[in-house]
Amino acid sequence: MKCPSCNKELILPTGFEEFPILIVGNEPGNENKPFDRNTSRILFAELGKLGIDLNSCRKTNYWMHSRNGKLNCRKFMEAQLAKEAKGKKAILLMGAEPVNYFSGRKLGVSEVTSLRIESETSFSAPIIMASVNPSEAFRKGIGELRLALKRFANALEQEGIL
Amino acid sequence: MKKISISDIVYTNQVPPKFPAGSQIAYDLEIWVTKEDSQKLHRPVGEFASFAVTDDGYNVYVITEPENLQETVNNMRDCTWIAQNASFDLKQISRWVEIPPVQEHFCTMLFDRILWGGFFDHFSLKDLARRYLELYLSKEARNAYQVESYSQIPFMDGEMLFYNAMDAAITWKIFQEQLKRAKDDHLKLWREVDGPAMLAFLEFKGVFIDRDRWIEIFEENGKKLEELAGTFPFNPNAPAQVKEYCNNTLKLKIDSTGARVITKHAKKHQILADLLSYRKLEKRRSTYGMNWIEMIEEDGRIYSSWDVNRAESGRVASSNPNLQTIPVRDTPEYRECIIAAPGNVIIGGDYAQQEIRTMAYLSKDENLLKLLKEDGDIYTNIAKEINKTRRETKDIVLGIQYGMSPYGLAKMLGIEKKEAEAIIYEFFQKFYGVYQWSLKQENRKTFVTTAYGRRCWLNPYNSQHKRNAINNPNQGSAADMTKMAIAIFHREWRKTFPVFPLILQIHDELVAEVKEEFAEFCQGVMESSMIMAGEKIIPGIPVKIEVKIGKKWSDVH
Repeated sequence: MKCPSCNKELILPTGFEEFPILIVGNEPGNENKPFDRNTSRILFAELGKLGIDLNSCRKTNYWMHSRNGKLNCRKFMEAQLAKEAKGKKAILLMGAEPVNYFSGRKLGVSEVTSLRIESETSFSAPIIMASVNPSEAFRKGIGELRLALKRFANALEQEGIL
Repeated sequence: MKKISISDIVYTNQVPPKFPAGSQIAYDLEIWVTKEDSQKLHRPVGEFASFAVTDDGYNVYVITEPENLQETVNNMRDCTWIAQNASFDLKQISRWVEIPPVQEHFCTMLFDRILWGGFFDHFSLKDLARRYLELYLSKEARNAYQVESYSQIPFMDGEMLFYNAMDAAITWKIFQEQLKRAKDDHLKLWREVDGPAMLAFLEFKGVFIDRDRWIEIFEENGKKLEELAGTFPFNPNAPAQVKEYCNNTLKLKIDSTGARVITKHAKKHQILADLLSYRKLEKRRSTYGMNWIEMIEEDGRIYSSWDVNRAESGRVASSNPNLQTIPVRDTPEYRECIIAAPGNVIIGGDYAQQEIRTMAYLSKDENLLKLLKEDGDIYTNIAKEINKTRRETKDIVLGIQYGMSPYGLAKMLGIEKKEAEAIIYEFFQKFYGVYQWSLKQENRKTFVTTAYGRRCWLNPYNSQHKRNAINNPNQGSAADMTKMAIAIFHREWRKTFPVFPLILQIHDELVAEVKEEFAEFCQGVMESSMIMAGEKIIPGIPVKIEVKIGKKWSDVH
């Protein structure tokens, strides 16, 4: 998939479109997947402990792929994300850029990680949860990631999704 | 997203009634502060804005007149005082009023680090509210407390009063949640180590600086740098020129001029060794420059901000400026500048081989325990066991304690990796208990504990996790010991004297400044406090203390 505005090669989402859970990551690594191998390993293990199978989630990215976040590139990314979010029961926003976008550019991820947030975009889902980027676990404490995932799993359970 | 709303608390702009003794009371102080002063909030800066207090997390009393503060704090007498970043509030409050006897002090920030150090990285009120109460706390109102100048303090509006009341109420609620999760060990650490240490650090005097000598050193180093710079056929501050010289003249084929690359070639090329010396000197000159002179206050002292358990191991941290990293070996002259004020002396005490003793306690290695009970220097005794010099032995033992890999040890000793592996192997053969303990630690996945029960959380995805599992219990036990020594010293000293004499804490070292006539008394109290703390943290292991008296910090180390 290419960005029609700047022609940059973008990463295709993975997982079936019908899956009820959407996980949105930051800028992807070099592995042509929304989450690279190491990050996926963490997510798989940590979500698995909570009864969520990473392979049963749709995964995509949202990030400013052009310098200074050109308006047309941004619009394209937002339209893609709106398409992805359609019909989803739960969205997990993992990282600064998706959280910032969903909160209408008002909130930083560190302020709201592990909290449910309201969408300030044109689309929504019954559950939208903010989380730190899973790659943080490589250099910081594991606490924030675990807490966000735990609360996400609790929310899924409450809504009867899990 | 849950936010706090006006209906979540009720605030009254009046002095609170007397709270029953034993109540748990959360409070929060707000001050007006200029942008410039906001950088040194550990000092008595700013003007009183408001003070909020609650004993149920719902009904909050807010006062805005400083003349009501004494009556307010008197009504909080004999209660448990709870604050977020209590050091700041207590320090500021004591500028205006006398703090009455209190049942107990709690700091939600420091207590949370005891609960979750290493698991979480940030402990602001906003973080704690999010984690414990699932609440988003906007701190926008705080900006209103920043003023252009103290002559332009605005009117305290309802929003600001609400903000102050909200902080107190949230702190109270967080504390209740913390208590639900706290175990006996957490409370013991707070009550015997971090809590009393926090109160002692509040009374730390600043360090008295020999201003002229500091400037002299700064200028001398400037000259040395200039001279050194002249010896290079390139500009040592221009990486492109250094790279060009290395590749064209020395034929090295390097991509970077970073310290690691240059160090690798410095053995063969003297000019690169000189370049490293130049860089080191330049770094020293910029770190310990004229900005230190600007930090000297009217009484001739520099005051650092002390954080009782900043590191995940529970180690104390100093900042603004950092007094714990003033070098001791290669450039000891900076320590010469920290002197006793006229009529005073400096007393310095340090734990000899503190971390090897904690290692012996944690690992229960029989050979190490036997050597510690023998007379003489422990490193010399170990050196005989593994056929190395004392210096090498010290590096090896400390390296192993820090969970250092053979690669790291090889780099430190300037030897081949295989040789380092053989040294580690030999050490572990002689001290098999240490090996077994290290192995057990490396396999821990959730947390490790210090000798006094402090939990240091591990992150299995972090590449440093095995190292942390070995290092944190050692480092944390040593830190607990030193902090407990400070707490005991504070308790004992304040029975006789109103002014606490400690000026510095550098991991295993305490430094005090007292009037000459009290030098021996201080020496005795310091020594006995340090020994008592050692016996409490690592019972059964002999603790060695050396306390010296001098005129400068460099005299007593």
